[in-house]
Amino acid sequence: MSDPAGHSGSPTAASIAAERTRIRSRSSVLSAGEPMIWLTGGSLMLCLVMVVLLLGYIFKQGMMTFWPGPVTHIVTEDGRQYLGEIAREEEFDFTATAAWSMWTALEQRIQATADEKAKAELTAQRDTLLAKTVELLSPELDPALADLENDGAVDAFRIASSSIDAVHRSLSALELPSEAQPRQVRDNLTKLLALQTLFNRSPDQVDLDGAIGRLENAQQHLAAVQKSVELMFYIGGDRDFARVRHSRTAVKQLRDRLAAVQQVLQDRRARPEVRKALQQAGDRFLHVLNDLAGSTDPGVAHTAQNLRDAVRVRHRRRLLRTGNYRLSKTHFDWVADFEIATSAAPPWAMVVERREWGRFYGFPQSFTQKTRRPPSDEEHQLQSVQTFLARHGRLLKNEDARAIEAAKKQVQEKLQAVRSHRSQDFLAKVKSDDAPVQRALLEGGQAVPFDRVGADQNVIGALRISEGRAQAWEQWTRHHPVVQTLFDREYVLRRSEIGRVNHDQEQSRLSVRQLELDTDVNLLETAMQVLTLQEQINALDRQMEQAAQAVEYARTHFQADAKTASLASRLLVRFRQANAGNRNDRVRQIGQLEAELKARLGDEAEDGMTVLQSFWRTQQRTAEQTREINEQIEALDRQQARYEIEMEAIGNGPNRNRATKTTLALADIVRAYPANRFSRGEKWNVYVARWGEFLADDPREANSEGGVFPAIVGTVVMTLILAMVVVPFGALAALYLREYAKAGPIVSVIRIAINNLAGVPSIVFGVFGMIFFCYMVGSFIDGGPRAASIPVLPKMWWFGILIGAAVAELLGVIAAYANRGGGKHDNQSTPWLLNAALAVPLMAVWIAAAGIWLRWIAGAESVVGVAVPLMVLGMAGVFFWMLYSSTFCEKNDPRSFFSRLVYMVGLATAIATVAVVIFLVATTPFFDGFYEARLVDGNPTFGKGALIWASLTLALLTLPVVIVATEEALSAVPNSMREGSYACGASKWQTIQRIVLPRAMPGIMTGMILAMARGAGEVAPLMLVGAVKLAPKLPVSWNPPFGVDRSFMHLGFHIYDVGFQSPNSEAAKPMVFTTTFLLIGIVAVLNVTAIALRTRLRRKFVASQF
Amino acid sequence: MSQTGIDTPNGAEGESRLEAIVRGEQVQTEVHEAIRHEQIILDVKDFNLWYGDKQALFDNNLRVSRGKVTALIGPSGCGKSTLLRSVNRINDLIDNVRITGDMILSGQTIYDPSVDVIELRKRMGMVFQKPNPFPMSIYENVVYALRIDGERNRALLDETCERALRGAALWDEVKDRLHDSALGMSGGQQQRLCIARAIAAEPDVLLMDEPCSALDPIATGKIEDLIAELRGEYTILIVTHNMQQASRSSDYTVFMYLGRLVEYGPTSDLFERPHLRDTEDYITGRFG
Repeated sequence: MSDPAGHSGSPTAASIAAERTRIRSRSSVLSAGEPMIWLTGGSLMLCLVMVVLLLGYIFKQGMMTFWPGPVTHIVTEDGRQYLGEIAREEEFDFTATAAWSMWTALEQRIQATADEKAKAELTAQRDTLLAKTVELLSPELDPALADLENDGAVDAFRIASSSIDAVHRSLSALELPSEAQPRQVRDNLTKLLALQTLFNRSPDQVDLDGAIGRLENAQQHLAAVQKSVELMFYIGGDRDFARVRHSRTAVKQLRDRLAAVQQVLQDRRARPEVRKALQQAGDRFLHVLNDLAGSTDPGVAHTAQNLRDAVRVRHRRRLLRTGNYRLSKTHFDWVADFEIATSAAPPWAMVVERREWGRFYGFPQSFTQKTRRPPSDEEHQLQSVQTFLARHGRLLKNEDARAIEAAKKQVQEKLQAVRSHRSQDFLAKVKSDDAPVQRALLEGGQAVPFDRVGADQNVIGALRISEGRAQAWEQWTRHHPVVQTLFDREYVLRRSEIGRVNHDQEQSRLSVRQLELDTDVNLLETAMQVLTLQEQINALDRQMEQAAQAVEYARTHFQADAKTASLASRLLVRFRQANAGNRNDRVRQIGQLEAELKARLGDEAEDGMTVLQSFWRTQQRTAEQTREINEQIEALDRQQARYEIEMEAIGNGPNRNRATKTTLALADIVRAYPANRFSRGEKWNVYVARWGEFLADDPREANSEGGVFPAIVGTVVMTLILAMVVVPFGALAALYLREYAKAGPIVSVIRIAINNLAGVPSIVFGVFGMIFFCYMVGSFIDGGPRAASIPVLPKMWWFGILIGAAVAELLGVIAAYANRGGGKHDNQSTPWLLNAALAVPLMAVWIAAAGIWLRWIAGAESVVGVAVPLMVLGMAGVFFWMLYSSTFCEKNDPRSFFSRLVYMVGLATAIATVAVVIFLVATTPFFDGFYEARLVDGNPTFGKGALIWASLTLALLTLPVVIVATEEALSAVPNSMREGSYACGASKWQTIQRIVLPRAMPGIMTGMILAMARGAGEVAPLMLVGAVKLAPKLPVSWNPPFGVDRSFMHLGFHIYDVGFQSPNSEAAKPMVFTTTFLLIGIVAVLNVTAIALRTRLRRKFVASQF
Repeated sequence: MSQTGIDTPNGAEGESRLEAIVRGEQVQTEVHEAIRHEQIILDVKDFNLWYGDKQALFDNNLRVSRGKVTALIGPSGCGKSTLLRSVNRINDLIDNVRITGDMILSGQTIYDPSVDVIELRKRMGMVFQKPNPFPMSIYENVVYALRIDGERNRALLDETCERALRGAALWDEVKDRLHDSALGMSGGQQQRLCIARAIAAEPDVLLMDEPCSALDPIATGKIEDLIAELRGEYTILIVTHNMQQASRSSDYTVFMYLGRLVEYGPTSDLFERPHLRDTEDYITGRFG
């Protein structure tokens, strides 16, 4: 069965199998690529871990910010008190230096105290503190001393020795001039060289005193040498200046090195003495160390100073947010663990978030509610009679002064009687309430118990005081929401109502400015004078009316005393005469001013006066409106001011040991809560409310508190405008590159340039945006070419170029028409010339349309002069283009020299026309800007940082992203689909419109998502083009230009500002994380929306084919 | 030569024409007599085509019969698809394509400069190798050609859609989901949809470029049945690699080799009694 020969000659089956196994096992690792699984998986893991860590950290920190932490009350060993929230804890190096400064601080306080008892207390505290610090630090003393032995003497010797060599070498090479006294230099050098014998020994074996002496001598020699070298350096000597400079450096270096050696040796000499002193010092080693540090022996002093920092221990300390800035002049304070005597969480400790001055920590003492006595009509009338008499009594100077005095007195008495009567009624009514403590508020402002109010005293109000912590808190919870509602109402009045009135006022003022610019006459100042006079007349009329009322009242109520009544009547007659005189004066002045204005306006008086009349009407109306709103605001203020809470703050004053009572108005408080008493649920309420405030409110306290609503609006609006601008432009550009442009060097260069654009640092875009958009385009829109510092063409020239361009375009199009068919032969792709012929007129039409639109929103007349000619130019182009394209299909040979020539000429004409249109717009003599009046007022509208410029700058920045993404998407559309469409008889544009674009839409959306994410997160360029720390208004508005001209807040910039520009950086720190968290959240929301949209599109258009 | 060829027994011709073609010599097409009696719809005249410097078609002369199915067979790279794609000038989309000669469709020249390519393509339908439904609904796919003509009459569109889908034997399968995405159909259905799209505009000529190469046998069977139904109604020019398919579904067959037309005749004759040994070799699988 088996063949022995075969066995011996060929390998057995078993050995073959073994060989195979061996080969397989060897190759498996290399060829199967097992390690790659680990490598790739590991990379992914690492990336994920880092991303998750980052997000997790931001999430944790961001979510923590608003959680109401407990309030801690800390009393230190030396009697300081702290009440506040613990911001963070950390370990730090507690050194003997720090311990000593604490000691001296206490010592100074003891010296400063006059009171014996306090002195004794402080001394006791000082001793406790000393004992604590010594206990902490003394174990560290011996290691620190041992550490000093490693003083690096050997190295210092070696380095100094080589430095001497260097000096010697470099000086020997110099040609020393006679002024440098070469002989002395050489002598000194020899002496320095002798030092090397010292340095060659081990530092442990040198005689310290002798060596120090020698070093001092050597320093003197070296000083002499240095003097010579300096002389050469400044007056010259050696021909080679570089060598002199080199020697000078070497000498200076040697001086430092010798000093270092000297220091080391001195320290060595001093060390036994220091050690001995410290060992004897025991508990007082801090003092001894301090004495030694002040020693005259430089070695001792140096060693002791080193020791003071070297004796250190790791210790914990905590940062307390103590608030109460006005009392303690600080927001935060460090407290080390060893200082703490007691630490507690007092149940009634309250956190008060104020609108200004940061947080307040304290204990509620009492709650006060003021009630004003409503003034009666009678009282009011009497008061006005009194005022009338007092103010205008002197008009009857010639008559009986006594009569007036008597009348005054009579009115006064009557008033007093009415008041005390009313006061008693009021008190009786208030008394029936069941408040625990009540006080009457007298006219002078003092508060007295009810029973001490005299019968004839004028009570203007009553106070209800709830004393005690629980009661104060209870009252607080009841009244604070009311005050908050009032505050919100006032806020609306202050922001939107006043804003609206101000806008009207501003507009009417600008209309006069515009009139000034149109007529070249000064008007505004005089118009304002008229306004002032008019207001004075109104005031006089009002006075007159009041006086008449008062006198009427007096006449009816003082019938018993006919004398007073008649006096008042006579006074009124006099007053009326005087008033009429004043009034007539002013009416006459107004007449003069108006005549003057008319004269100045000359021919345009009629129209001009209409504008001025409307200006005066609007100003008077808005002034009236402002007065009304202010009255409402004052009323709201008064209502809010009724409530006050009294708090006790502890740990104030320079020694942080004083308790102070402070009254806080409820209107100034955003939120207050006794953190330690709160249950988890109540804390959640605070937490949620704080998030609500963060998302919906304006910032306060230099952005470190309050909300970021304006920043959210700014970010979102900016990103949306950015997307609206960049997506169409980017997508169209990519469409041209991918679908129309013929592949070639120009397209490659353009593509490379676009990719490079993506790599340009964003700040460069910021600079470009600032210079181009803000200063050029923006200024141009504001005030025309002059404002943008562009030289203006003379009118004849401008028209000349315009007509020239029109003729050139005409000729170009005619040439193209004559050569119709120039370009590619298949009309699948639209030829260049057709594009140009289409693009140029379209551009002109766009510009003209934009101009007319702007003219509508901004109301500038001058733009018509620009828009109309350009519009005509554009329309002519469109007409010729239509003619051209309708006959395009008939063609001749595109390869002939003539058709190429015409093609190039047409292309050149097209490009030139674009340039000319831009040039004509830029240098137009007919355009003075849309916002010239505001510009003259010193308020540029678009010629500064603005939301629209920020969006455009970022659009430019993100353009490559969109172009690249769109190109990818377009090239991912299978060619078979295009061919299928063509085979159905579709034209190129129909194919693109119906097949390619829908299919590529998800990819374009991806580009948009990437662009939005990039744009929303960009900060650096925004700083230059409109992002600000605090924007007074949101960048959205109903009035043209719809707020896009405003500077705005942005979350990214807000993070930078809060984190690095805040005066209270410690308090702002948590806000950095919260804002970051929010920014990430907003970008995520924008992206998820876009991704959802994309997924829908993708499901519709790009489902798998098989 | 062709006249003598009619009676020549299979493979009687001494020298192989294919070798002559490989050598680059001019070779005349062996045209069977039967074709001369047919009515011509498409006449290819001295057609040459270059991709850049490389010539892909050499002096092609072909008279395609009206209302018949003509199959183009030949080894890979012999220019079948190129010839087919030249008929509706889809090749124009490729840069560097250059042609001489002309084609005449129903007496109208195709390659004249004054021809509107778009109008031309509207007279032909084309079915591609891989199904290429558009990213839109089944309905919109079918009426695409009408849509791009700006047809808005709903009734007409509906009618066309149904007619085309019935014509492509797809109506019963999709009539309930006309407005679903076409991309969700099976491969065979997609290909029939493409045929429906091609016949929706009632073209003069239907060009099919290996319509079954990406399909399984069952789907292939359905398409072949469909071709059989369309026969007579449309003139069909079909490129195929599948000899059985060619023999089953076509009336005439053209054998091509290296850009040249070698033999052209009624399918039954070509498959059973080819004039040339080369053709027989190819059909019986001895080479290619």
